[in-house]
Amino acid sequence: MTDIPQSESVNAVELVGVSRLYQHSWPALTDVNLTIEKGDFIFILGATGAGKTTLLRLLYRQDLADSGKVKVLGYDLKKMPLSEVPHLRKRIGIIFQDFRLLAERTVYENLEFVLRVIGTEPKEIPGRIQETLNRLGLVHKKDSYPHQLSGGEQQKTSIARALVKEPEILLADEPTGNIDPKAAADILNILKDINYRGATVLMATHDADLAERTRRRRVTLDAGRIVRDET
Amino acid sequence: MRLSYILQETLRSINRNRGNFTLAATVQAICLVLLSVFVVLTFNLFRLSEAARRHVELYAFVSEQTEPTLLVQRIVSLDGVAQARYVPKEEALTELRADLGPDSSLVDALEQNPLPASVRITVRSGFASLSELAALEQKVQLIPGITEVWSGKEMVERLERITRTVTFLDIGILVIVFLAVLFIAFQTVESSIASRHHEIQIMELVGATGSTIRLPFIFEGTAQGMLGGAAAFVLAVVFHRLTTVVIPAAAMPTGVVLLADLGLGALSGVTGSLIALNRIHRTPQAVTMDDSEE
Repeated sequence: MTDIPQSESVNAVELVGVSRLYQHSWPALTDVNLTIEKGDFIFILGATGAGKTTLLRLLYRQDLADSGKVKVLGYDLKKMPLSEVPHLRKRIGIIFQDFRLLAERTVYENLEFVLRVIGTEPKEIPGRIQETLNRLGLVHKKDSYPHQLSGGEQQKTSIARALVKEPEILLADEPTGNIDPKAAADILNILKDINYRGATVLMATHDADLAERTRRRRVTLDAGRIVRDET
Repeated sequence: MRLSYILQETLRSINRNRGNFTLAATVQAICLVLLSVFVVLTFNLFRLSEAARRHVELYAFVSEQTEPTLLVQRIVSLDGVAQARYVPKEEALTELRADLGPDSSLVDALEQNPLPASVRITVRSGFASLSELAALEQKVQLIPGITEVWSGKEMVERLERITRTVTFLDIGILVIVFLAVLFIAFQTVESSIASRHHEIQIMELVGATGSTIRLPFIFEGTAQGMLGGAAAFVLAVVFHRLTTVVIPAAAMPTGVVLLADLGLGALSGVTGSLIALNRIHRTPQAVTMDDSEE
């Protein structure tokens, strides 16, 4: 078992001297130091290839740093055995630019699937789904399949799927990348609301204007290094 | 992890791959029915061999001056002898005539009876092995008045050789059939995993445990193997029924065949699934996502 400090004072994310080299020694991240407190809303900014996705992958233990320390919700991810990874991921919600919804399941079933695979009590499932769909304004779409939804609705479903398990951290990788500006504004408002209710939100985006308008902490990556950290 | 969820996912997966699943279970049934047929044949061969052993007789030829009653008593007292009967030379000649049938006139051409008197010894069933027969032959040979002993051990030797060969053949068939059904189970589960790759990725990302992800596939492989096994058993019963029309004495060890079919089906299903899962999905929480780098 890894040590899992549960106290309120534990930061949501701590990265100390983190580097990640990909094949052919291409540095995706170099000596990254970053602390994110619980309840923060932070933009990870940078152009394509700057290291944003790599950073997020390290946080949900999809990838391991070559050096340095990565701590998420108190878990030291390098020391964490594979059997513990599901415990971490239950506490994290992940949103992707390409939505990654299950095409042959309805909106409701996409959410139900998540709750069932993480072992939620069956009697709790309908209530939690209903509440999440209400929150995201998706009740009228609950029986629709992903291909029957607009891009914005698909992204909302993807957020609902992440949200339904009540995560402490929400990682959003370019969540507005594939949708129109109005839908993007909607998504951003939803993410702000999620943050307002207590979850830590990390949103990776290349859209610096969007981040600036939102007036939240902005960490800018360039060629795998943090070049700016503004509040 | 809930059993109801796992069973539901297993059924969903089977339903989604029902074509592959049915085809694979059918091929498994064909493989397993071959094994069942060999089990039935072997069982009957062993029964036949056992019956033959029960009728193994030694012929101890006796010199003319020997007193038969005492001789028979001595032979009966030997270990492994079930029965001993004195056959005088006249009776031996009558038997020869009967054996020759229409050619019995050949015997009439003889001036005198060339056949010796003998004691026919029936061996107890537990003493019909090659070594026991050889030992008994030696003991009988040492009894005064016995000129020669024919033990029929050549026949026993041949039977032992046949049963040994068939046993090896059975083991070979068992291994081949097991590998075949294992491979089929592996292929089905592998294709099932491939068709649900996206779903598995989502499961991993949201925090499903390894067993929640793996068990539906293992159940699917096992269900397929057991279905194939059950079908093979039914076919074996049909084969046996048809055989009894021609050979009424043919028997079938129903319990053994059922156990072999279902057991082997289930075992190959579990093993095949585990191999497929290990091959495709070595570390469920760490390697399967293929996020494109920014």
